Order: sequence, then C-alpha cells, then structure tokens
Amino acid sequence: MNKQEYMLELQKALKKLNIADIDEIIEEYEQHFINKLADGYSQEEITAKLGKPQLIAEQFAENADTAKHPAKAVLSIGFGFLDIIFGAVLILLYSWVIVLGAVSVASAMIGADLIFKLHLISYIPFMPYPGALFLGISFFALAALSIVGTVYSHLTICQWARAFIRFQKNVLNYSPYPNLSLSPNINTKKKRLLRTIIIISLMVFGIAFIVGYITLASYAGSLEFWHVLGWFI
Amino acid sequence: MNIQYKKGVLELCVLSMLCKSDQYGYDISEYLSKKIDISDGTIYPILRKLKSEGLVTTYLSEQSGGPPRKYYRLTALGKEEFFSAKAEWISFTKIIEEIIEEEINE
Repeated sequence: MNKQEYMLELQKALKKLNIADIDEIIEEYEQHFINKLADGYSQEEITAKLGKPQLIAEQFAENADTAKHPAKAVLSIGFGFLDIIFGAVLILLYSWVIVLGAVSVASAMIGADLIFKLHLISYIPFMPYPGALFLGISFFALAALSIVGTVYSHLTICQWARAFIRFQKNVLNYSPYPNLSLSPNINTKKKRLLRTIIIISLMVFGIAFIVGYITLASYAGSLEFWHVLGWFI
Repeated sequence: MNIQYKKGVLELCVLSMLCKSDQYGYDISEYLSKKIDISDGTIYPILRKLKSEGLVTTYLSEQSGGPPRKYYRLTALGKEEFFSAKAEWISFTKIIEEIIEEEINE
C-alpha cells in the first residue's frame, strides 16, 4: 500500500466510526510519513509498519468512547451563560457574608462601649451600669455568633464556587475527579469548636440579655424601662 | 508480548517521556516502537486520548525548512496522573513478580 492509499483508507475508516477532528489525526499521520520518508524509508515500508488503517481507526474509536461528545460545544456555551448567572448569584450571596461581618464588628463595638463605659458611640442611649454590663456581654455573645456565621457562610460560598467549577470540568472534560460536596469541608475538630462557640455564645446571649433586662427594668421600676430612661425621644 | 499488556503500559510510557521534556508526536512513536514491539501507528491514538483527558496539551513549534511540528506537553494534571500511575505500576509489578517467583520455587 502506498501513502495515498493508506491515508484514504484511514480517512474512510475514521469517518465511518464517527471520529471527531479527523483532519487533526490525518495531519499527525502526514507528519509521520514526512519524517519516515526523510529517514529513507519507502512508502510501502512505512504503511506496513504503521498497522492496518482499520485497526488504527478502531483505536481512536475505543479511546474516544469517553472523550468524544458531539454536544460538547453546546455544553460549553450553556455553561458560559450559566457561569455568568451563577457568578452573579454568588456575588449576591457573598453580600450576606459582608453584612454578617459588619454585624459582628458592630456588635463587638457596642458590647465594648457598654461594658467599659467608653461612651464613644453617641447613638447608644443612656444606660445605668450593671444593666449596661449585662447587655454589653450579650452584644459580645452576639458578635461571637455572627463571626461564626460569617466564617461558615464564607466557607460555604467558596465551596459552592469550587463545586460548581469542578462539576463543569467533569462534564466537559470527563475528568476522573469526583464531584465536590456542597458543604464546606471543615475537619471534625474545627466543627466541634464552632459548635461549642455557638452553644456557649447562645447561652451567654440569652442569659445576659434576660439579666440585663431585669436589672434595667428593676432600676427603672417599669417593664418598659426605655420610656423611663428616656430612649427613643 | 501480549497486545493487551502493552496498551495499558504504553500510556504510562508516553506520560513518562513527556514528564522529562516536551515531545514531538513522531519522536514518541519512534522511540517507543523501537523499544516495544508495536506498530508505528499505535501511539497517536494514545496521544489523542491523553489530550482529551486533559493530561497533555499541544502546541505548534515552527521548524526551519518544514511545516510546524505539533509538540506535546504534560499538564499539571498529567504530571499528577503520571506519578500515581507510576507508583501503581511499580507496586503492581512487584506483587506479580512475587507470585511468579513463588510458582517457580515450588
């Protein structure tokens, strides 16, 4: 078989098996001929050593089982649109993290102001001391809670982004990697720590808030102590 | 040597060659077909498979006095795959060796 016959047969066999990008494959074998001819082999020798075109084409077909996908281009475009939407949604979701972070900072500042009688924040209305101390503590607990929430939401959203990217890669490239879970992978030790912080700060928040309320109410002699203390005027 | 043996191993050989340096498709085919008894055309389907799996990428390199050559380069994923496949192969052959040796001794 000479080169022309070989290439024609290979092309036919590839077409028959529905292989993608036949031109690319043909080009590779063209190159093979060019190099072999330059090394002094005859066309007949080269085609004999290459192996039967039919067998070669079958090898491409075998390997393409998982790789070739006629809808890949469509999928890519679809994912492109999906990326824009999902990206926007992620940014939107991330604003939650920012808000929660701001809540943490604000709570901590209010708590510190109340506990240490700093009077730096002019918006905080007058509050007699032991009550202010308890309310300050409850604000600190609130800060701890929202810090945990901030960290956890941040990790979750990042994990979603990663999982989405991995999913796309898997669909498009058929890569051997498993899909990622949607919950962030925090190790058990850290998980336990987070849970402890949540429980303790919830309890502290509840107790300090109630005690603070009672203290202030008894100080003012009214359940609606804020009227007595002259708030919201 | 059995053809089925070779097929699995060839992939590992190609990855190994590319791990050392970028290679022209023809050079890989020549090198391996000289060392292992396979037909010359066998390597190209493997290269294509590796490319579709994202283990290698290709780029064209201009040649003086000839058409540009398509070079293959290992990706980070390919490198990872090579090292794990290599380790797997070594431990596998060790076990097989042990089994075969046992049989001879008995």
